Order: sequence, then C-alpha cells, then structure tokens
Amino acid sequence: MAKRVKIKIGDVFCQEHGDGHKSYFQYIADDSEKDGCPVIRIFKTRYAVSENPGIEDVISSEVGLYVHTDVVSGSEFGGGWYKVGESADLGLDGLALARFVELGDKSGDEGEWSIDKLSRLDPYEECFVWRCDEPRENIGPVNPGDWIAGDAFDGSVYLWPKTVELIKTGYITQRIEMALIDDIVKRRAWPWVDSYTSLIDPLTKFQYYFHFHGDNLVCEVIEKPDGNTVCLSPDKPIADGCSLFDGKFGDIGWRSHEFIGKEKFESVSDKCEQASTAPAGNGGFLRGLRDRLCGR
Amino acid sequence: MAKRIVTKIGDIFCVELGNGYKSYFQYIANDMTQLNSSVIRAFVGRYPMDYQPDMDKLVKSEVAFYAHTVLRIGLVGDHWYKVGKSKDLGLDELASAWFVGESPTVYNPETDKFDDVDPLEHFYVWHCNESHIPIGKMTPEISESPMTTNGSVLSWFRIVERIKYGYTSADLYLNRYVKQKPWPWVESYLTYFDRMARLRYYFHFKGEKICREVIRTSDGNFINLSENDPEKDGYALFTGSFGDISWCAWNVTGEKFNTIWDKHHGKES
Repeated sequence: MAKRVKIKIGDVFCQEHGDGHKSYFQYIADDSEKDGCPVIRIFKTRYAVSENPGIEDVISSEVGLYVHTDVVSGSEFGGGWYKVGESADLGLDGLALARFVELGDKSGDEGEWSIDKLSRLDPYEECFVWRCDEPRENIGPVNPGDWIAGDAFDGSVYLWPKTVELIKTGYITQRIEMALIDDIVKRRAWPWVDSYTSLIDPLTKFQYYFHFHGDNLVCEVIEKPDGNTVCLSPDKPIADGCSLFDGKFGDIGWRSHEFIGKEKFESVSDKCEQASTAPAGNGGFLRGLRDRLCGR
Repeated sequence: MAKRIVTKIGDIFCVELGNGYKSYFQYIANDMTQLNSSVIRAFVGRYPMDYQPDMDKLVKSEVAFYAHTVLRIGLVGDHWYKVGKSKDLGLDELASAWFVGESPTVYNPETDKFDDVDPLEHFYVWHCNESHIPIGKMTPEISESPMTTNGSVLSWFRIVERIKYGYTSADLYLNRYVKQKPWPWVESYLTYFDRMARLRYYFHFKGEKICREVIRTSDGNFINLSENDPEKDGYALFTGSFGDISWCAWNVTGEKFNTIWDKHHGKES
C-alpha cells in the first residue's frame, strides 16, 4: 500500500533540479480566495545536491515567488519534491505584501449568448487582484505592459509539473490558461538560468531571437524579411540600422511558442556569424517598427 | 418527440445573418481524412430575407470557402436550416482545395514521448479524402492557392462567424500566411499590443481597409489617427490591410473603440 503523505502548513520541501542542484520551498497558507488552495513560498537560493543546509537557514533566505499549487500531488509523483522538515516561521509578513493577479475577458458576463461573445475578446478587460485570504478586486480594464506595482504574482493554481518548472527556472513557458498574464505581471528568471526566445513583429516581419542569462539580454539576432541577419550584444548594441532590445527578460510577455531551444538559437546565431564576413548592407535600412513609430 | 434530423450530401442550408440578410452553404462531401466530418462550401453573397433563391443558380455562384463541420449541431440549435438541395456539388473544385493543419507536438520513437515543436514549422496539407502531406514550413504554393483553408472541424459558431463576417477570429497559425478578408460592409475593431515597443493599438477597419487607429504609448498618451489625419507626433496610420494584423490581434467592441476615440479626439492638438 502506498504510504500516506501527511502534509501540513509549515512543512519545508526540497526540489532537485536534475543538474546537480536543488532548492527549497515552504507550504505557508491556504488561500480562501482561491478555494482554499495551498500557497507556497519558493526560496531563491539554490544549493548543490551534496549540501545540507539547516531548515532555519533555508527559511531565513530570500523569497523569490509566492505560488498557489497542490503541495500533496507533487510529493507523491516521481520527479516532484519531498519533505525535509518543518518550521513554525511562515514569513506571513512577506505574504501579506504579495498581490495575486488574474485576467478575465468578460466572456462570462450574463446576457444573451452571441457569436461576438465567442470571438477572441480583448483579454485585458478584467483584471483581478487580491492578497491571500482577502476578497479579490477588479481593477480592469488594464493595459498590457503596465506592470502591476509591488510584489505581484500570477494568482492561478499551478499543477505540480509547472511548479517544478517554476522552482527550477523562476518562470513557466507553457500556459494554456492565463496565457497573457505575463503582459501584466513580469516573469522573473533566476540569475543562473539561460532562456532562449524568439518573436516576429507582425507588421515589419522582422524575426527577433534572444538569449537571456537571468534577466539580462546576452545576445540578440535579428532576421530581416530579405534574409539578412544582424547579431547584437551589449558589446555591439548597434549594427546595420538595428539596435539592441533595451529591456529585461520579463519586459516581454513571452507566449508559449516563443520559447525556443538553445540549439535553435545557436543555429541562427551561427548563420549570422558566417554572414557577417560579407559586406555590410545598406545603412538606410528600414528599422524595426518600434524605431519607425517612435521616430527614433 | 424530438425531430428526426437527416442530412444528405447535396443539401443546401441557409444562415440568417441577423441584419436583414441571409447567406447559403451546401453540404458536399464527407472527409475520411478528417474524422469523416461533413465538408461544406459556403457561397459568396448575402441576400435580403425575402429572397427566394433558384438552387441551380445558387450552386453555380462563387465559393467563399470550404470547411469541415458537424451539421447536426447547427440544425439542433437553429443556427442554420435546410432550404433545398442540388446534385451539383462542385467536386472538381473541391479536389483542388487545400486543407491545412499544424502539429504542436511530434512523436519521438527514441523516447516514446511527444516532443513540443514549433507548429509554424510543422504544417501538413491534404485534399478531401486524400492522405496528409507534411510540408514543414508553409510554402507559397499552398498559401497562394485560392482555396486554402484551415482543415480543423469547426464549431457551428466559427462557420456562422465566417459566413457573417468573411473571417473567423479563431487564432489560426495559417492566418499568418493566408490573409483573412472581411466582407466589404463589415466593420471590425481590433486591439494589438506590440510587446517590444510597448505600444497598444486600437484599429477600426471597414472591410479590409483601415479607417481609424488609436495608439496608446507606454507613458499613457493616446494618439488618434484616421484617413484624413494619418500622421501625428511621429506616428503614422497603419498602412496594411485587415489580414496583416488580424491573426495576432484581439477583438474589441465598436462601443469600446468609440469610447477611447472620443475621449482623446481633438485633445492632442
């Protein structure tokens, strides 16, 4: 018979990253505003698997994220976390400052069902914000890119594999629900994480490829519609009429399909390095939409 | 007792558009390649409600699009109803129509798992009742063919939406390559957020053509642009057509667009 796992508020869990590191989180509350879903605090520090930090050291370290997740199922399945101890110190002062955010699109409004309501409605019409155990408030409509101030966190409930991803990298890539929450609440990447992303500007058809280390941009490759590529980095922020993206990893609400692998990024940047030996293109090349519209 | 519903290949159905007009489509085949679902062809044109069509003439009219759907659900919900039939199915034209799908995952026999892949690099196409042809990236041969359609089985509301407006607002990867075209009389309102420039756009299109645009800058200023007033403060009216932007934008109501427009109209100068 399977062992019954008894889990209670205060428990501290360890999650192994699979790369020789591990980190910790603590189950600190049940949020009545989210049907009593457990809330955890994930600590920022990662340790080598061989290290054995004391529970008091772990829970006094810096908190990276507050998340709603099912603590029990993650400890029952392989690949998930396991309990390492407990502490009565829950850091509730920190939790009281955390604000949870969710989006709505008014498609659930009462009234007659119509074709127009089933269409792709503006997803930023409603935005709910709450603190743990307090009623939610609708602050919508909101504008994407206007970040919710203060300690804001995605308030949706994470299934355990997503929570594992969050513990390992600081963010999740695949979202089915709340796909656009990252336009309102900034993603955070742990300082050691390499992230590779790509997006196309639908108006200019420029394809951008990015490599971030932690929150910082390390390299950007721009593929122009004519097939030419430009490679930019903090050491070479301007080339061929293009300029390096001046934001951080979390400044763009990446969609699930925009996360690309390291290999894909390298195949593009390699191509770029080969091409850079060719003569430079014309200097008056049409710049990206952001430059064109901003009159830069 | 519930009404017994029988649909036969050749049946012609009417969709009421709700603004004094109606349009027609015909059930022309079952596609074994797509779950044996019903294939329809929708005809171009809207007719006044009192119009009595000649079925033989109607089926000779121009085809707006082909689609897969489940007819029964539309009949039960009164979203369309049968008005006649014709033996002319236009199967020769159907045989040249491309249906398109894309795979977000691919089976990996080495790991016995499905790997996530970029759907834009994993398109497949087929003709009705023929096998899938994987093509990888979209090719001009497919995207520029006059009858290239999303091959998914569409819900009744996507069919009605497309008949009514000329496009559906479903987020289809295909719409990056095959432009959506609203009927000339349709007013569409969209919003799009440019994440790199941190600009939010609101667009008003009549048919495929842009009429008005509001740009919200990252510092919260609004710029109203229109055909008569296409440039202001270094910003210019969008020069593309509806199909250039629709796949990545969201719908807003006309009311919402007008509220934003009115609020900032005349303020900036």
